[in-house]
Amino acid sequence: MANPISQRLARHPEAGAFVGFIAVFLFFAALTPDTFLSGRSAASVLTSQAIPGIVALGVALLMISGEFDLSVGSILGVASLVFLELATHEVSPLAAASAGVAAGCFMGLINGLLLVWTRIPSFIITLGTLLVFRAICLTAISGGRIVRWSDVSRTDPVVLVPGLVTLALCIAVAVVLLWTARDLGRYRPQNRFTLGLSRLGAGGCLLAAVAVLGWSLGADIFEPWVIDLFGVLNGRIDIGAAAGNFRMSIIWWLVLAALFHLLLTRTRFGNAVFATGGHGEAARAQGVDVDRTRVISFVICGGLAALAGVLQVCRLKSVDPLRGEGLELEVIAAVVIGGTLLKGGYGSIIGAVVGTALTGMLRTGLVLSGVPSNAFRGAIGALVIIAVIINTLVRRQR
Amino acid sequence: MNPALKNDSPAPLVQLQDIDVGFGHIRALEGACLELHAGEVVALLGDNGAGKSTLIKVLTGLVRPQAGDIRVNGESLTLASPSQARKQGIEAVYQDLALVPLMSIARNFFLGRELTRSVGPVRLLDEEEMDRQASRALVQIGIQVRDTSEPVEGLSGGERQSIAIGRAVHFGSKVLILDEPTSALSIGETEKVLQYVEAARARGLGVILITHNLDHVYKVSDRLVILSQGKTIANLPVEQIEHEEAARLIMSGAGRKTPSERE
Repeated sequence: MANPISQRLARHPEAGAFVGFIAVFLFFAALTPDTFLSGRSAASVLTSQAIPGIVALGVALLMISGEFDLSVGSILGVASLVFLELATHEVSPLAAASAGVAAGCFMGLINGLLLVWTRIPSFIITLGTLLVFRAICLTAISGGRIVRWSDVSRTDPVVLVPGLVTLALCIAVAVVLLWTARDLGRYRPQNRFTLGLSRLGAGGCLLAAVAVLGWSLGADIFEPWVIDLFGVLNGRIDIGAAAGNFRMSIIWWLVLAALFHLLLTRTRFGNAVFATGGHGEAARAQGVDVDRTRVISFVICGGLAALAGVLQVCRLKSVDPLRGEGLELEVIAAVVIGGTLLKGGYGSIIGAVVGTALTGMLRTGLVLSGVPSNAFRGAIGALVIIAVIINTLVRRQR
Repeated sequence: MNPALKNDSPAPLVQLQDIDVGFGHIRALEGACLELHAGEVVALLGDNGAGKSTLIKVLTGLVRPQAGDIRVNGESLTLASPSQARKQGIEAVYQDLALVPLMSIARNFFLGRELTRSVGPVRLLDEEEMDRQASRALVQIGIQVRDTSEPVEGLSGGERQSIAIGRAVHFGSKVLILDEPTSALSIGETEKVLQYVEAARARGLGVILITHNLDHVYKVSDRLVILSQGKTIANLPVEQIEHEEAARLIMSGAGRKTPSERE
């Protein structure tokens, strides 16, 4: 008989990954405490995993909707190329970045429409588009050339936002924050935990609104706001020289994870995603537009892969034709380790984050303990199988 | 049955006339007809492949007919999607498409019409309200569940079927369609389902019951409609047709069934 605690745990797809995370952490902490338990190794894990981590958010959402995207690595490559090619050809860097993300959404749309029009399994469709999208990179950057930002400029690009536009943006953000704070403050749920969380959220929104307004009032409205685009998107976070290489992509990864967790668990769209993956025909009979849900999930998955590519370019400042190759398998492994079911209908964004962090930690830990780096792939493979066995056992407790 | 509610109203609740549906070379329905009045239970009968499920899928917007007329309250309309049918107050419980197993009872109950609350510019699910309303609605129909946030996966077949029926009764303002609701149930659970049917009729709903069990038909139905090879071959009040005669009509269709025909 299952006990209530394991039953409650089993309602959280990420439970197994959490346990695995702690186990792997303790193992390496005991094995190589001096090097593993340091800011540097934490930075190494988080910075290296932020990019696949962002891709994994979309892959997890899509997998929960019952579909599969093998083309994310190629989408990341094309989006990176679109961004840097445009930026190095005198297109405004912000527009170039947006075009990169839009290209990813468009490629996701192609995957989604091919799925609902042909009813061919998404595994096959995206196996095809993996090759097609990769061919775009390979033909656009002929002869193994590498596109580099440093070929056109020695300084990083900046975005100039006119002072009045900045002010208007700040006011708009503050209004939305105050509006959210008001609605959260008025919510009176029975559940004390939810109530506390709402109150906390309301307070946080209020403080953020005050901060934004304060900052905008202090700024000179006749001076443009200068944004270092590479820095904001994926620059180094300065928290002391000894702390290690923490990058902005970690922040974006966590912010996006929070947003997509909310989208998946607290919105009608999220419910449609779970229902489409869990039992598509039953969902359709209840009026859920399952095809629309599938297409939107593909667009989100493509958009997130593209965004990850754009963020990566902001750090590496170059694109090669094989950018993102092999990423799809690493990401799918992380999502599966995070407890998401391959057949859909069950899984979580938190699980995808923990799964991605776990694979990164395993890599860093193995390197620090002197294991040849090629053994890492084998370790990940073993971990996927162990994780699926554990997740299946945990799920049986339900 | 409730005679006051039957045939006195000028227009039937639902009227399907000369419905044609084909899937490729297969003719699933050829000029099928069905009529349903408020406060009436119609048993839709026929052998496997007769077109029963296809006919109700037409009525629930899952299948679009190539020809024929659909009238709801006398008004001719097209039902292009399940949500359009639901807007007309037509709810169905399918034998195999009832609930999403990995989702909670409350989320299944409100699937496709989730309750939300505004938080700033976005709308978030109001889970507490959905839990509360789902358990209240289920208790009202006589279904006891331990916890509506529990996934459906852990429930028995009977419990799942009652929740699906409870949902349809709760939201179905006019027409309740039950496709083989008792096929996988124990005797006790079957009795309960038949009680739900009678309760729905008492509330003035029109009920279409698809079943292979003629005993259940004679227990709760007011009228029989028999399909054979996609055509309506009988439409009679139960008191005008004997049990054996109905069985003979259903089976005589079976002999003419082509092997490739399917519902």
